[in-house]
Amino acid sequence: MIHLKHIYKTYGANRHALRDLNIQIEKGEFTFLVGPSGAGKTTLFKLISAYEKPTTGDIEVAGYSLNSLKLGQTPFYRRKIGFVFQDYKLLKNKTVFQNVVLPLEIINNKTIDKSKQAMELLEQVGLHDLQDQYPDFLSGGEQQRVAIARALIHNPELLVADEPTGNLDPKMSEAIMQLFFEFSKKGTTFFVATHDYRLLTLKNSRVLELNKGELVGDRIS
Amino acid sequence: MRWSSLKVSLLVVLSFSMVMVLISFMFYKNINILLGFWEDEAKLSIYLKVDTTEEEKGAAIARLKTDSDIANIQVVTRNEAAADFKKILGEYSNGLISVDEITDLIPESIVVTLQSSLSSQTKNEKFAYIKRDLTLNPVVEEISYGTEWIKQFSKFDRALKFFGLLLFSVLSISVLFISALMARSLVEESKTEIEVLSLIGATRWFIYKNNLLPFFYIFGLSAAISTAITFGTYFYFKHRFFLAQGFGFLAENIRFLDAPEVLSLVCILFFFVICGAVLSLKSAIQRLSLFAYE
Ligand SMILES: Nc1ncnc2c1ncn2[C@@H]1O[C@H](COP(=O)(O)OP(=O)(O)OP(=O)(O)O)[C@@H](O)[C@H]1O
Ligand SMILES: [Mg+2]
Repeated sequence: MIHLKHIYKTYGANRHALRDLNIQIEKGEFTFLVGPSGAGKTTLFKLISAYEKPTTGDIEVAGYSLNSLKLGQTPFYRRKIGFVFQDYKLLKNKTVFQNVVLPLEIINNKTIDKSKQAMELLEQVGLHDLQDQYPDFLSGGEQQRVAIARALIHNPELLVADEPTGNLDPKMSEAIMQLFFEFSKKGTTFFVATHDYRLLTLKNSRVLELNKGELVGDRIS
Repeated sequence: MRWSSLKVSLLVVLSFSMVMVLISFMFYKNINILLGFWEDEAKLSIYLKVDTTEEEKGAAIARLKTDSDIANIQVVTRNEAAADFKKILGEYSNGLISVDEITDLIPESIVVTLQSSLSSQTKNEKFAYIKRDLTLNPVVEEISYGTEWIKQFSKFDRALKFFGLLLFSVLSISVLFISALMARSLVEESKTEIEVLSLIGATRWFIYKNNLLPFFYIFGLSAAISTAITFGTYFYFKHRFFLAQGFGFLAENIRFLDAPEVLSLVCILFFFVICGAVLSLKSAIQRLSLFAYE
């Protein structure tokens, strides 16, 4: 599902955020990405989301070779992936419900019952009574759950989540992880960055460790 | 659509600007209409000698008729002239002077009006020519056409028309500029939204549609508001202000813009606002370089 070959990302002249990364993640795998602050986790996700380009190296995700991605293909590539951004990236002028349903509006598949699907997910992340609220009036943890629901609603092949439980209490973190495991059982590939080492014990899964932009560990928790 | 303060101010600025453009155009249009009336009023009167015979009069008229610039030739008999005169004096003349007495004082005249398509400049020249031509005719007592008045009027006419056009053009240009600028800032405001939309897989078409739709709403709303305000202004002047000030002639003759005029003004503005919005959207999308993986 994700194939990284000799990825380097250098900002400016000598800020090396990623160095010679080689990572293979197969379809259906559940992989954690850990590492101290500044290790390069968000940078790696930016490359995967086709938001930035690696300085050198090849990236292939979901069958798309990102180096030769055409202008018009980018949206269709991104639809295969669900992103939970570290800063959530919710739309302030849309309600919780409108934010969550947005990926379905964009894909515009007439056979899907959009609002039913959105309500179900909001229920699962425990936000069904906040559906008409605007993000500015939500707590950090609530906003984070909206971002999670939005990333999952279109049943993506791959879910990339940057610290999805950073603002959640232990109980809620565990509930979200259970939701992830459910989707994982249905075949979704997960790539989740986290600082929360407790999460790694919830399930036997692969853990990749980054430090100063280099891959320093690849093990099963 | 959710109203942000920027959207509200775009609505206000657009409506206000369109009101100014519409009103300045209405001003220009009515100046042309009213000046047209006054020009039509320009007449040349040829006063005949008292002992003029019908043949002599007929010969003079026949000579005038050969001139294609002359629109109308009217003979005003002494009785008609006297009646007119008495009408102007109104009730002041009652008991003061009788029609018979006036008739003795006023000579018979031939009144010449020129084609209204001629400019006031040409009319002036034409009148001067006719006067020179007829002065030698023995039946003519006197010719008058208010030379000075027409000359001044032709300057005034040009100045007013020019002023109307200038007002309209300056307003239109500044309005276009402001609207394009407002469109730009509205796009700037949605920059994060554009980024997010694109990150979750929106095509450029979707982003254009989503960001241009508010412009259509806001523009439609301000077109309606400004047409209403302009009509209100027209109505006020026609049915209240001019009547109250005693300008019955103005009240009777000013006109509102007709549908094609309103439509074409609104369409030109619309074109510029949407162009401004599309161009800034395009550059915002390119600046964020979200679609090209480079
Ligand atoms: N646009 C940028 N320009 C310059 N340096 C950058 C840029 N983005 C990231 N960096 C640098 O790259 C390094 C990796 O940053 P990154 O955001 O990937 O860390 P991270 O692992 O996500 O950290 P955290 O756990 O705190 O989120 C950091 O040293 C950061 O300062
Ligand atoms: Mg990060």
